Order: sequence, then structure tokens, then C-alpha cells
Amino acid sequence: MTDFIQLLVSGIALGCLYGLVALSFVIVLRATGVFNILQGGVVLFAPYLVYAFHVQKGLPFGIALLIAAVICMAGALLLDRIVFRPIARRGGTHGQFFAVLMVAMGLLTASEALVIAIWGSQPLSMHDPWGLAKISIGSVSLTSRDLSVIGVALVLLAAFWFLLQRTTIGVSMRAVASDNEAARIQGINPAVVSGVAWVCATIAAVMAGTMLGTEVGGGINSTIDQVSFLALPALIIGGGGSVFGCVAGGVLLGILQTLAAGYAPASFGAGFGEFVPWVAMILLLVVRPSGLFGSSELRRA
Amino acid sequence: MDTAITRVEVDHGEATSASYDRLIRREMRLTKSWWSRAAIVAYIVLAIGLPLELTNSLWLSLLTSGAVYGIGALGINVLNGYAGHASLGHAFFVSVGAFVAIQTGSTWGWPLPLWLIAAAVVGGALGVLLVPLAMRLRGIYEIILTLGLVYIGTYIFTNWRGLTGGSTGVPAQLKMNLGFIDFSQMIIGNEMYTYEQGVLMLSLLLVGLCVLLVHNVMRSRTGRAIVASRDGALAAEVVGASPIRTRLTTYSLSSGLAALCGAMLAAQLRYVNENQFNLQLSVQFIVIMIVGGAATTWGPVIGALAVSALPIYITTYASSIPFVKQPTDGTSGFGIMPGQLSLVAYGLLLAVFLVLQPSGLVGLAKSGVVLGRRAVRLGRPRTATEG
Repeated sequence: MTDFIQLLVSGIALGCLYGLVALSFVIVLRATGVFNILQGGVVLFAPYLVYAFHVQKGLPFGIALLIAAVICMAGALLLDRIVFRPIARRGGTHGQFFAVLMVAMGLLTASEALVIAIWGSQPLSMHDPWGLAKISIGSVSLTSRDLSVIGVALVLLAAFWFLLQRTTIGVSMRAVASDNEAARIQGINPAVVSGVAWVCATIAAVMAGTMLGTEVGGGINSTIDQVSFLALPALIIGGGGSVFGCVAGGVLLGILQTLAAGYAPASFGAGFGEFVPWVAMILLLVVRPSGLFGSSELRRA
Repeated sequence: MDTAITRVEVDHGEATSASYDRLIRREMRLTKSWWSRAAIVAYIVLAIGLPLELTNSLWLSLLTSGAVYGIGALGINVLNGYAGHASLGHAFFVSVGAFVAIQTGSTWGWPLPLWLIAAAVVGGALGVLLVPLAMRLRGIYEIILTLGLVYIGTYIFTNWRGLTGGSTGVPAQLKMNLGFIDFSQMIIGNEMYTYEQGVLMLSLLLVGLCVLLVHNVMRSRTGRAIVASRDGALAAEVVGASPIRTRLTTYSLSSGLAALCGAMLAAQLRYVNENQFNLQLSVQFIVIMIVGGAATTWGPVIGALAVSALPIYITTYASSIPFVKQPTDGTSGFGIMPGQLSLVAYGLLLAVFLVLQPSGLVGLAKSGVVLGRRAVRLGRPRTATEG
């Protein structure tokens, strides 16, 4: 039982990170109609930038985080303008979204090499701003890193939920997502909406990346962006489209992965934890193709 | 009055349908003209002659890689270029092909045609299994599903040690004889040829066969239905293109070709490790298709030759490329690791081609021909009818 609770909490922490990454995909997907995996590049660059400003330059953690977020945002917007807009504007052919995705995959691969070129291939440590102290409640001991990840993620998710559901810009974003032309007629500027979406998505990705970078033992390394692939089943499990769906999908994914890795006997071999979410995704597709929380039309984006 | 009009329309209709029939029959022929028959003969002569003349091991491995990866790229071209479906799972089918070939051709010692067919059939069958799932998904969700295959394949093949040797890999001693020809040590007259030359000959013949197969499937009724579904799914369904049948053909052909590529890869490398079948490999096939030219007949093969040559050129000229870490630079300072250069190059190639040259090298060559013709025409004095 103690084991179970410990695994569950670290599963939820991992799931919150998946949820944030999935969220950053979904926000951009809904506001611009384009799926851009380059958010994974933000997840990769953010911890390195935080490392550069926090550890190398000696700035406070919060300020380093802010600078990293601003740099990532500028980079994302710049790439959106000079690379992704021209492809999307060409319009008309079947492979448009595929072209965007492939360019993003290409740049993601290149950015892994770029990170190694700048910071080297050795894992780096961020001096752990969350602290590695264990908190014991009865016989259950939890790392404060897991708890702070869950806390930060919950605050962020609440903020995003408020932004999307309760503010004018959030309503505009949802309007653009459901019917681009009708939204334009209502006087909504799609450029503003996609800009806000990029900013939100980048914040989510920066936070996810930074929290991943402080992972116990792992540290910052050049394969952090792999999480952007591991988070993708969350879109199918959650049903895609909605903030709630993808975050819930992400959390489920994290719990599933951690429990599977924790309880699998040694004979199941290496990598069982990362294997289970994909199998769960395929089983779900057979049983309930619209996902746990989704309606079927959203999936045809 | 009414009847006259009706009769004229009927006549007209019959005339066009008859001429269309003739047209379609002509289109459907395996070879359309004496020219294409001559080209096929010329290709076979080249595919047999070239490996016998070539002894430089760099060229041999480059051309073999080009042909082998070309087979796999033809598969992704069917799925993405012609059918418009997206997949990141190509590496999974390649690995299936490689391990089926090793099991049948090396462990069980089946002859050459049998292990090739076994690999293609198992790969194609797995592709068919994917259809019911893929039917439910589109766009990014289809990509996520196929991405899952790579991760599932990695887990299965890492832990299925009896078949794949786990993380240490498994040697592949495939039987290479086809009737009286043994491709692993061909003897013609008094000359004896190496394994590499044999594999090159085999893969050139095979890639030619696959190009012909894909080209003709795409000209067939099903092939046209596949392209029609890509350009307008609803319209295609209305005129009778069954979505299930087009998907079945697309997926089985595509994954079958991928598995064939895997089998030939095992034959070429004679040693297979499951960790070479990663997401990077899937992306590499897409790079090949896009660089060559999507939805073109020869694009995948031309792209494969260009892209396979890339790592070799990069390692040869690493010392003169800017921003590259030289052995003398030590560990500090900015510099891209030479080992990662080809990854960067793939990424940049994808971006550059998709943004600037979406029709690939084949498209570039075609526009070159058009420009050349225009230049010739400009040189001539204009006649009154030319604008």
C-alpha cells in the first residue's frame, strides 16, 4: 500500500508533465489548426537556458526561468513567421499539415544536435531548485520534487483553464478553433489569437521542460525532448481538443507508466513502463475510438 | 426535336466511352511504348553489368544503400505521397522485415526468394492489421498511432532475445542462392565476384521490380482510387472508391515494401541490431521521399541515392564544414559533433525542401527540362502563332 501511494504520487507528477506538454500541443493545434511538434524543442531548450542563466550566470531561479521563457517565445514566434507560415500559406494540397509536422520534426532533430553543440553531451545538474528532501507522511515518503511538480502544474492548469473559459481572448481562441471564418466575421483577429496561443503553449512547454530537467538523477540531457513523443498518446487517450481531456489523458498516462514500471516482474524486460501507454492507447482505439473524454468530430482535425 | 437531341447525345456518349475504353486499355498496359520496353531492358543490363564492373567498396555500399533504402522509400511514397496518409511507423515494418528474413533465411535456411517473400508477406499482413485502427483516425492522430508502433516494436524486439539478440544484435547469414546463381559468391566464366557485388546486383534488380510494381499499381483502378481518395475522400467514395479497399491496398503495399527493405538491409549489413530501427529511421525515409519527390515514380530511389550519400560526404569533408567540432578543439566551446552532422543535415534538408522545393529533385529536374525547352524556343525566331 505504501509502495502504491508512492508510485501513484510520482505517477501523477510525471502525468502532470505529460499533461502540460500535451496541453501545449493542443492549444496551438486548436488556435491555428496546425500541429507543431517543435514544442518539444522548447521542452528541450528551456532547461538548458535556465541552467545557463541560473547556474552559469548566477541569476535567481525565477528570473532565469523568465528569461528562458522569453527567449523560447521569441524563437517560437520567429520560426512560426519565417518557416511555418510560408508552408501553411501555400495551402491547398493534402500534405500541408504533414509538411509542417515534418519540418518541425527535422528542426527538432537539428535542435538536439545544437544543444549538444552548445552545452556538450554530458547531463547537467540544475542544483535542484525544488530540493530533494523527502516528506514523510506516516510510512509514506514522497519527494518534494514530485509534490512541487504537481503543485506548479495544478496552478498552471488552473490559469490556462481560466484563460480559455473565462476571458474574452479564451472565447476568441475557442471560436477560431470551432469555425475560423465565422470567427473572422465576428471581428476576431486570427493573428492575435494564434500569437496568444503560441505564448501559452510556450509557457506550458517551458515549465514542463524545466521541471523535467530537475528530475532526480536524470538531470538535463539532450533527450528530454523525447517526452514530447511520449506525451502524444495523451491526445488520443484524452480524446484531443479539450484542455480537460488532454490533461486527464496525460495524468492517466503518467500513472499507467509508473505503475507498470513499478509492478512489472523482471521477466517483462526493459522499457515495459514506456510500452504500456502505447498498448493502452491502441486498446482504447479498439474499444472507444473517440477517447475517454472526447467527441468524435474533434479527432478529424 | 426531343428525340433528335437524345439520339445525338447517345451517339456522342457511345463514341466517347468507346474511345475512353481504348485510352484506358492503352494506359493500363504494363509498358506503354517501345521506348519504355527498351528502358526496362537497359535497366536490367545496367543492374547486372554495373555491379560486375564496380570494385570500389565505397561506391558499392553507397549504391546498395541507395537501392535498399529506395525500396523502403517507395513504401512510404505509396502511403504518404500517393495516398496522403501520414506515418512515422515505417521503421517498425522495416525491423519486422529484417527479423523475419533472419529467422527464415538464416536460422531456418530458406532459399532467397522464400525469405524475401516471407518478409514482405508478414510485413504486409501487419500493415493490414493496422487498417481498422487507422480507419478511425486522421491527421495527427494517425501519426500518433503509427509513432506508437515504433515504441512497441522497440520494446518487443529488445526483449525477444531469441530472435533479435536483444541489445547486442544478431548476425544475419542469409542464404543468397536463386536457382544456380549464388549472389554471395557469383562465378561468371573464370571471374569470381564478392558478396557486396552480389548484394548490389540483387538490390538493383529488386528496386527496379518494386518501382515497376508501384508505378503499375498506381496506374490501376485501385491506384487511381487511392489518389482520388487523397484529393477528395468524399468525392472518391461517391464515385465508388471503397475507402476500406484503398486503405487495405495502401497499407499492405507500403508495409510490405518496408519489410522487403528490412530484409535486404539485413542481407546488406549481415548484422542487425534492433536499436537501428528507431524513430530516426522513420524520419529518414520521409526525408528520402521528400528530397526525391513525393508521388513520383523514381523520386524515392533518386532521393535514397542522394540521402545515403550524405553521411559519407559529411564524414569525408567534416574538416571543412563550418561550426563542426574538430578533434583538435577539445571538449569545450561551440561545435556540432561530427557524428550528429547527418542528423542536422536531414533536419535541414527536410526544412529546405518542404519550404523551397516541395516537388523534390524530380520536380527540380522537370522544371529544369521545362526551362531548357523555353530557352531553346526563345532562341528561335518567333512565328506569328506563338504568343
